[in-house]
Amino acid sequence: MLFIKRQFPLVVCFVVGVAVAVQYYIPHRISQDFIEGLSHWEIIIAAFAFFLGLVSVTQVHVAKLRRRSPGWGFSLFFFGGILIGVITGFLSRGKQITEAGAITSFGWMYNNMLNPLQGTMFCLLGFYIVSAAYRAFKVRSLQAGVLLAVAVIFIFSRVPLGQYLWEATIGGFFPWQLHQMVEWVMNTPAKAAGRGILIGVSLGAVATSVKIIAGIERQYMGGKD
Amino acid sequence: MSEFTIILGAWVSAGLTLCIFSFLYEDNPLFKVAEHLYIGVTIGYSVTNLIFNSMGPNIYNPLKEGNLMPLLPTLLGLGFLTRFIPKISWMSRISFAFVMGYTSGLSIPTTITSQFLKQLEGTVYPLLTRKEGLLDFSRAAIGHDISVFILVAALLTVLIYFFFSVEHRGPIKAASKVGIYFIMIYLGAAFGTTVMGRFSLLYGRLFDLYTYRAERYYYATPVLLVALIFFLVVYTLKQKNKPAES
Amino acid sequence: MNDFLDKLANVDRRYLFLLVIAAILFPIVRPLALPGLKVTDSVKGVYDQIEALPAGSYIGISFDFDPASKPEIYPMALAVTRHAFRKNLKIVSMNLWITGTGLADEILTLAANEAGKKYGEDYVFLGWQPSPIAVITGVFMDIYKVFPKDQKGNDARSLPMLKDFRNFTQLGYFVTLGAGSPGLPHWVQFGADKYKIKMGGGCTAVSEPGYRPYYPVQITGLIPAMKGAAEYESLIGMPDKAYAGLDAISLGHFLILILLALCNLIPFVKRFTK
Repeated sequence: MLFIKRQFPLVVCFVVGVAVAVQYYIPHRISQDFIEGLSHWEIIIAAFAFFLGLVSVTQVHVAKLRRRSPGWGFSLFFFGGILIGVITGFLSRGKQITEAGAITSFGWMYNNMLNPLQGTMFCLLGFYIVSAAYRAFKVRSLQAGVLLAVAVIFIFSRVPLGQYLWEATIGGFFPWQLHQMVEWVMNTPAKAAGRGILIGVSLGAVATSVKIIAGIERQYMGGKD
Repeated sequence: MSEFTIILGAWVSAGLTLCIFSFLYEDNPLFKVAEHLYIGVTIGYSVTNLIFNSMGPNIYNPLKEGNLMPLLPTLLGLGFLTRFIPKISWMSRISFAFVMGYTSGLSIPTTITSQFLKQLEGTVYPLLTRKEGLLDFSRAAIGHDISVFILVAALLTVLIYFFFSVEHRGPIKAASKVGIYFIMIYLGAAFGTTVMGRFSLLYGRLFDLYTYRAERYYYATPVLLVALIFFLVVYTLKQKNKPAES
Repeated sequence: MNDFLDKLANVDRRYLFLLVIAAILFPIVRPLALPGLKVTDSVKGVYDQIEALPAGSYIGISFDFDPASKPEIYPMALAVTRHAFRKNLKIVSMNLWITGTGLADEILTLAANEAGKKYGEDYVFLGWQPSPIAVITGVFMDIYKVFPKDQKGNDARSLPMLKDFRNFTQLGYFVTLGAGSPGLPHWVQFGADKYKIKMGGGCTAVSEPGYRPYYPVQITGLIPAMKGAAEYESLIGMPDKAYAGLDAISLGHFLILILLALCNLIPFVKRFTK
């Protein structure tokens, strides 16, 4: 039993990992069928992983309601939101637009609740980026100066007003247009740095993947038992 | 969709948008209501989509037709949920092991190809522009070749900056210092583009609020805005009086 | 003088927020139609590929975003879809973000109604499935295993447009319009590079510097955010929301430039006046 609990998952990870990695280099029909089938399995399994998060977050709010913790009333809105989503979804059988092109109650919920809520939540960042820039974007070293200079060039030049002002003033003295120069910065020095970071991350990702398959990295196993 | 549901939608949409915007003044109950509702409807929407568009066609339908293929992956999927039952939580390890093995196995060769080898290829190819087998000395070609040279040099210095296996002394230190400046250019570009992204999102929400101000929507935005301001004034006054009461 | 500068430096952030709202809202109320938009090579890289496809070719579009990035990606998604319909291409579409399913459906329906295209004959929307890596791997082998049914609940095999279509290797071109992960890097890594298909992408402004290393070897073009969308709208001759939105973004950008200048000038002036 101890083998099943501790070693068997490592064996599963190793076998699946090695088989999937090796098949990449074998363009045979059997190899293709294998990865095709396994991918289908993965899609089915991943669907259940969603419920892992759902149960987890629900537990937090149930505990809040039970203990009448501060702000427990807000948890009712959490459950209300789930009910609205599920009830409208089931009434519309998961469809937002009917064959005839009409919007269902699920679609209405999506357009008028989920859409503005999610959109507004993320747009708040627009305000805080301004506030943070005003408070903290001070040039204290040459490196910070380079960062600020490039940021200013991009902020100025990536909008039509900036390009228009450039052309109307000093643009004529340069052999290239402003958007071409900025594209060059993006496609040459900035891309080189981005590529360096990408290569570093990719090597790290490969190393981590190898460690997972080899059973060295096993945090996903959870507790000791 | 009837006119009533369109108008109701405008009021709900504008109301929820303003509730979240109220956070800009200060944290308040209306924002918290909207925040909790947001998480709730996102989960409700996702669950429904998952059931009808993924689990239905991939699990329920084949099983109903007597195809037992989805049975084993379904059991593995259900294994995830044993994490909440301490006595059998070890079963979830097998499910996690499968997912980790699959993801890691697929990532190794594809990452090496796409994010390492192809990146090197993209940096040096073509190193020198050629025309009919000979080096091209046109203005555009020379410009391109200079750009490639800068790209290669910049990439090398950035990689040296991140390479910690050798001590950064002498020429390595000099190269890594140059590398930092290229990283600063990258971060500057990232900041510049991020500003645009954030403003675009804000534009989207303000555009909708402006649309809902119209007579067609029974002035949803101005009416709700006045109500929100009134609420915030009352709430702030109440909060100010709270310490005095206690 | 220094008192005033201190006050200015420590101004309540809510006043800054009001300035931001004013800068973005003003062009919405009074459109400015600012001139100066230039089409960049990276945007043309997507446009040219679609333009070069013969009528009746398959084009794949993955709408990998959700309402959180709608103002940035929606306009370019609509523009690319309109372009594909105008070229009489057959669109095989899907999405990798569960909460973006509704937006993808809306864009396709809107563009199809405009162009008089029929579902199942001119375009299909396969919908969403979990595990993006497995989905991408799967659609390059057999789309019917990944999507036995389309988003509308039809048997995917029964759709007339997909009669001779088995997987994404048959696409003439593929475009992912995405807001992050999963998105363009996944499509490049697990799909286009391995199966050697031509692809392009659209992305949020935040993602753009991170996606540049893929251009132009792994992707033929990149449409960055609202600016890229406006360029695409001008290329297809249908200026729409992105084009209009750039007015607001312009004013917002100039506001932040002024604030950045103040942020750096205030300490300098203070030192000077001391």
